[in-house]
Amino acid sequence: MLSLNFRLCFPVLLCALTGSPSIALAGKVGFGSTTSVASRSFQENVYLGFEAGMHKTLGKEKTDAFVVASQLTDKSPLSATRSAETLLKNGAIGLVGFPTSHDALLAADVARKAGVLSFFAGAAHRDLAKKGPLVYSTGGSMDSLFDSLFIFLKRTFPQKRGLAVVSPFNAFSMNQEATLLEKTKAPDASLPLLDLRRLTKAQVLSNEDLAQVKAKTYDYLYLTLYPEDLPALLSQLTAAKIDLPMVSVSGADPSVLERFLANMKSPFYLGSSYDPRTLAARHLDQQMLKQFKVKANPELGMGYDLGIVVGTILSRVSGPLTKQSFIDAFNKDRCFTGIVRSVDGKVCFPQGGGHIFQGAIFRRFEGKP
Amino acid sequence: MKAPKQKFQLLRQLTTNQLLAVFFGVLCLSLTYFFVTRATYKEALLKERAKVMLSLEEQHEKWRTWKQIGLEEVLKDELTSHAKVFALSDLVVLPVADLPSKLKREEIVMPKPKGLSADTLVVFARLNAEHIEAAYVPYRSNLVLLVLSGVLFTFVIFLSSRYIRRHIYTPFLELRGVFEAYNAGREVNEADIKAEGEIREFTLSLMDLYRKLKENEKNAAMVSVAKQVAHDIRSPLAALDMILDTLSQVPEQKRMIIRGALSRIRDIANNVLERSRRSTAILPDTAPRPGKVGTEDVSSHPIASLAEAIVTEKQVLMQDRPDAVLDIRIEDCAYGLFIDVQPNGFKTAVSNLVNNSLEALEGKGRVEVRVKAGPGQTAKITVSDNGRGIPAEILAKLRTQGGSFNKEGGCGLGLSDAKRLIDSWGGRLEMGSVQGVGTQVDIYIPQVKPPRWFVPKIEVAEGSTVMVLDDDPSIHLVWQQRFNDAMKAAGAGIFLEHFSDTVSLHRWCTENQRLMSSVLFLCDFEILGAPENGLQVIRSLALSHRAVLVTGRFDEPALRQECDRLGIRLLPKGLGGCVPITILKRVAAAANHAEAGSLVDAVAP
Repeated sequence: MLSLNFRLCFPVLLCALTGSPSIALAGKVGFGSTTSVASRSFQENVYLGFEAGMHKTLGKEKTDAFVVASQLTDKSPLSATRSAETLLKNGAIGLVGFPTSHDALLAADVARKAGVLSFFAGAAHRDLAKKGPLVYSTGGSMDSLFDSLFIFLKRTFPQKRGLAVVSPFNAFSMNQEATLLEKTKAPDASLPLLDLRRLTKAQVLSNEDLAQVKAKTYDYLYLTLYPEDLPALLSQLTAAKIDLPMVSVSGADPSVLERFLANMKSPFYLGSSYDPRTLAARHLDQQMLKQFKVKANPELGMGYDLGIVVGTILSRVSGPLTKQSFIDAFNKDRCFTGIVRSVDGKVCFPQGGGHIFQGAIFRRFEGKP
Repeated sequence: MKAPKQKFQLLRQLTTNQLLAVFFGVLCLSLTYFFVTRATYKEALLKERAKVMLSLEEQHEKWRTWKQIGLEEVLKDELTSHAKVFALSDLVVLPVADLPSKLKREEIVMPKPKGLSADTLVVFARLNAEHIEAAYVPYRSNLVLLVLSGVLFTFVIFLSSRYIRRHIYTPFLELRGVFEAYNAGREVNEADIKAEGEIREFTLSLMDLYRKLKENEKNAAMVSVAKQVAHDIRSPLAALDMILDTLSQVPEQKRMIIRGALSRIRDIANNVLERSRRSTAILPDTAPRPGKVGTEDVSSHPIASLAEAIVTEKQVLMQDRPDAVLDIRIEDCAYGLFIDVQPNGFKTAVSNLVNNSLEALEGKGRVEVRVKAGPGQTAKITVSDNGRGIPAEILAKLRTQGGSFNKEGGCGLGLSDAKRLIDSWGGRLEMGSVQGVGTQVDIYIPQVKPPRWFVPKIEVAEGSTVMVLDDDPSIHLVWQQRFNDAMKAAGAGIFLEHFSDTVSLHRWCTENQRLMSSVLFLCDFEILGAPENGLQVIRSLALSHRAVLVTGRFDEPALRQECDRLGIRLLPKGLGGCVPITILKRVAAAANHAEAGSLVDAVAP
């Protein structure tokens, strides 16, 4: 793990301290990430997976020759924009990474304006599909995730009423609210019984909502936030001695929630496109153990799939690596194989930009035995 | 007086000056106010800008991000909340392209739009100018009040100007017209004066003053004549005075009448001058002092003597009216009554009243002057007649306003002057009349203490000698009669020696030296044919304390002073018939002598 941190930190420090790299990035793809909404470990896992995917398709030397990474840790909400602009300003011919909906939305605007091809790791926000033919996400859209979610909820909590908790300060969460509202607009018996509540500015339930939850009005909670944004809410629930099953589709590693989960009797269900039981996942696991001495996880899988896509495109470029050659190489074939977050290891990007088709697999994390 | 070229010129000038003063005052204040408030506002704006910019510095990236990633609801809530906290009138996130072309001082853009692409999102905030004004420049709105005050002052000036024009300026212009009319000799009535209040009073006072000035001008010539007459009369009077002293052959009574007449002529001349002077006087400080009328000084006089003198004078003048009788009756109690008056004034007053009574007689008739003590320490003199009398309605008018009744050529001054004089001495005049029966005028004047020189009574011891020196045989007869009466009354005798000249007197005195220590010497002042007067005789005989100077000139100040100096008593000659005389028997005389320290008591104090 030490070696992993070192590898990632070098380019990160370079950008963070100087504001602009001293070397020219001409002919390179810029990988960006920020800690605006997701944790630094999350970003590092994604990058590590990306590097693994790049190595798999290009080899280590070419990866180093064609990729430069930038991570801003200033916690500014506009870090993704600045990071993307910095990369482009220094000659990047494509933007990749930015593995949250928040960062992806910001970076997508920069890419669109700059006319460079961009791939964002696993961002599910539906608005990405509206950014044009140069913006793509290596994750499924919110619609496809919710299709999987509804099936899971109906099956796991039949005839039960759940409460979807939304944070109005989080784009990913708000996009889920919009999707949920849109999908439940018309009464449909096939849909789960889900109510919607927004968190306060302190990211907790209001007293009224808390009272309802405490009164066992709901049988489970659906959390639309990243695990990093949940501690305040979970503290509130723990203090109120509320112990309900919880469901999330953020796909992030819930290890930050371990201390809460340890005290819960109810299970925690985490939805993700990454299925460790697949063959591709097992290969990734072996590769990670061999190369980086770490076990694979959903975030690594997210980065890995991006690395496979970008590495495959770069491998197709015959001449000098430019914006156009990078685009052209992508357009030659929009389908890619060796993807771990796909049932059959293959994904195809739609025309006009947007997401790949991807469902979610829900893993159960047990609380107190 | 020329009319001003422009109507209300001064008023216009005054109003214009006031308006200019108000205008420039308000302008200066407004400008000062404006610049001060603007500077204060600018400073406050900078302060607020800095505060808001600091807050935006912390938030703008978040808001721009929210806008960009579609968190519109929460962005709207937070912008609203932030705008409320910082009192912003506007707070939005928008692309640079949508910014106003020119930013105002109150507008803030974060980050600075320079160098940003048109679609870059920025935070645009607009400070609430009203809030800043209210918080930092709360008195800015006072500028409006100031200007309104100026307008109000202007309005007040216009009203004042109108008021002054109507109530002050126009009346003054009318006043000018009044004086012009006066100058032109036209009469102006009070009704012609349109002014009101103080201006009217002022105008009327000026008119009155102007009228008096005009009258004075008219009187000036008359005064000049009066002065000339008064002056011219004085010279012949002085000559007559001088001649009078040489008229030793003329009986004393007649000389006294002449002297009195001369004195009154002199006083009349002085009064003419005084009245002339007063008639031209305008200012009140030239009015006569209380208690003084004419040129005479007020002094003590025996009322009986004054009355007797005027009656004597009148009796002489009545020789051509044998049908009219003028009598004087001096009652015993009236002998020692003194009053503070101006003697000639008193005589004139009584003379006027006597004249009125004489003129009221129709054919035969009688006028009586009676002197006696009045009620409440007053001396009373009554002038009564049995003439035609005065109707009641006329009498009432005469009592209050003076005037004359049924008197050809009468101007009414006699009664009114008499009343005025008597009033000035603290006395009063009462008048009663019955038509067809007669008229009576009573004068009451406060009594005063008799002077030291006055002889209240004569007391002589039995067997004493009384020397009488007088060139008038009738006086000797009077004294003879009086002492005879006294001796008869007392049942005791005295020796009465009569002398008509000083030679026989001196001889007698030389022969009767032993009697000199107990004699009473009644001596006249003016002795016809004698080289010395009575005063000199008394002094030469060393009889100052046993002598009484019996003279009609008792009221001459020089004579009185001399008698005072020598310790000689005075007896008005006209009152010789009135002075109380008592003969004391030896026992009583001794007792009196013991008290008085002398055997022969001639004069009681």
